[in-house]
Amino acid sequence: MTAKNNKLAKAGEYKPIDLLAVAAAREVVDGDIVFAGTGLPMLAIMLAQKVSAPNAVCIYEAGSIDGRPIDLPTSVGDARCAHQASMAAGLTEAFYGQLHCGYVDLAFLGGAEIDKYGNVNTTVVGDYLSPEKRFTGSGGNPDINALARRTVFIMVQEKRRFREHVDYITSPGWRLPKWPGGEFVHKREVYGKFFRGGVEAVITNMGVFRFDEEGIMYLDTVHPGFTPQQVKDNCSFDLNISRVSGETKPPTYYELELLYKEVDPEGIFLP
Amino acid sequence: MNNLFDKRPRLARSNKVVSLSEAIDEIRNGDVLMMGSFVDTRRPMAAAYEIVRQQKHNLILLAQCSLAEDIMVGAGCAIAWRGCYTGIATFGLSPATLRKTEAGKFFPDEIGHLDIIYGALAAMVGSPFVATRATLGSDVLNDQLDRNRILIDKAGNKAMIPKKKFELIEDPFYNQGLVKLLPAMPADAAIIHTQMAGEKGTARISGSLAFDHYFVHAARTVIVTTEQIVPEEYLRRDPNRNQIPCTAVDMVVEIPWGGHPSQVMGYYDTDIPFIRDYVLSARTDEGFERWVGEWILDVKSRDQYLDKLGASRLEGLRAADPQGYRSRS
Repeated sequence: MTAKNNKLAKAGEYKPIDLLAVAAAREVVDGDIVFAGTGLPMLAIMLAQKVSAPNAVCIYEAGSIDGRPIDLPTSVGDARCAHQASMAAGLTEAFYGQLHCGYVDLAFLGGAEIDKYGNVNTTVVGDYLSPEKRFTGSGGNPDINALARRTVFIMVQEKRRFREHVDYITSPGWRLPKWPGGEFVHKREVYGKFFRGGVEAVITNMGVFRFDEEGIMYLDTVHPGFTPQQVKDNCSFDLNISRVSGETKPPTYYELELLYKEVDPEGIFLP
Repeated sequence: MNNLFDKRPRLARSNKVVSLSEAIDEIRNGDVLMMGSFVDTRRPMAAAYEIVRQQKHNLILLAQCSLAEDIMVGAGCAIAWRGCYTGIATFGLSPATLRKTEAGKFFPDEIGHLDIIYGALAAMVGSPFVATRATLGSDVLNDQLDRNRILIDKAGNKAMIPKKKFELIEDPFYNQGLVKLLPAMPADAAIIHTQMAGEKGTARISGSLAFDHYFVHAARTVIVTTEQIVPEEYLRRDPNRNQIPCTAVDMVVEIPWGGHPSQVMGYYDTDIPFIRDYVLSARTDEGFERWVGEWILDVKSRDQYLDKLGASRLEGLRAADPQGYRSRS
């Protein structure tokens, strides 16, 4: 291992996916209990554990608790997840034994569409009963998003994906329908004493978004090479860009080296 | 008929070993069926192929519509599904499920993982319903987007599907706010694939247990396919390591490589090119038909399947100690 080069990489020296992984990894606080899904979330937690959060614990929904994978898994049930795990069991032990009962601090999730309240759709485009396009369905998305203290969504930034209303609310955000009536209220009102938090950040290939006191999305940092207006132009709703705190910090050379040489040397998710 | 939640008395036979075709013969058209494990690991793939070969139809699938299920959906064996996932992790969306759903030929009904787990647990313990916070605020609770009626219509045994999907009430005991009453999720049959099983049905799993250790108790017929039948006596030397008790199991089928192309920890790794080829092929009707012909219908025996894969390919997948998978690097 060469000396840690903590200088920031310049434009052109990293790919959008590298910045996504690095920005997501930076959301992990050392000691967090993290629930991660397949893909970029795996890169993020494994990178975070190597860079800044060695004591973060990762739980994969298929039932491995605090595994320390030495090879990148292709799914959350992959035997790679369970390498050096404290326990390998099943979904019950992960979802109820860890998540529902309140151990989980942070979760990484993905989504196809999101609205300004952080409601996420991973189920269908169009009418649910005769969809134009079907996606993966919820997976663990709504359960994890509802019951972790903080969640971070990693998504592709496109106008058609950042919408006023999503076609199907798979995963509840900050303001959500209260059934049976379906009127939109704050999450706190629906979850009552079970309320623990919600969407902390949305990270896309253009910026990092957070939510204000009302539960409405705003742009926090913009990735190098983009302007806040460009990000706003890639949202269907009227994105608040008045609170931009600056530019997203690019990856360091050390982070890039870890990503490509240690986390995903086989190129499972990285190009 | 007994109470829905009473376990069907399993025959306390000394030997439950049968052939794969005999076992799958017990699956009826219209059954509510749960295929074991998760996404692309330890899937009962040989059993799924046999279901296709025996041309089962109108099956209602539970839990996920991933690698094993997608093949059955593509082949027209399943009509509906209640669960939460129609993808194959790194390999993308479940291609046949998407095609059939978008064409209106297959009927998904959404619930969440917590619902599946808790529904299975409720069926296991014989409780008609349980309470949870799962899916509050999501469209799972939107009654305009509910296919419970379709599931009842399609089920062979209509008693297997609850009259409705959920009921919302205020917590009457601890005053914690809104809770969802979730009906139990019994199944007509469960098929799981394990690393080892004994002739009386005791089974041992390595790696993720997924839903299997609960779902076997929620199903009225339980088939265990296994990499290796070992003497019951061997498994019983260390009973703490067994997750499936003999009392839950009706039939045991030995099928080496029976989880291919999924991963079976300790035995072999995921066959990545095979799954990629399937996912690409199954995007169209023609591609799927070609694939199912090549790998299922035109393959006359398990031996022929393994010969077609070839010894060097299988050797390249064989798991290594101590990790239990095949390191790609």
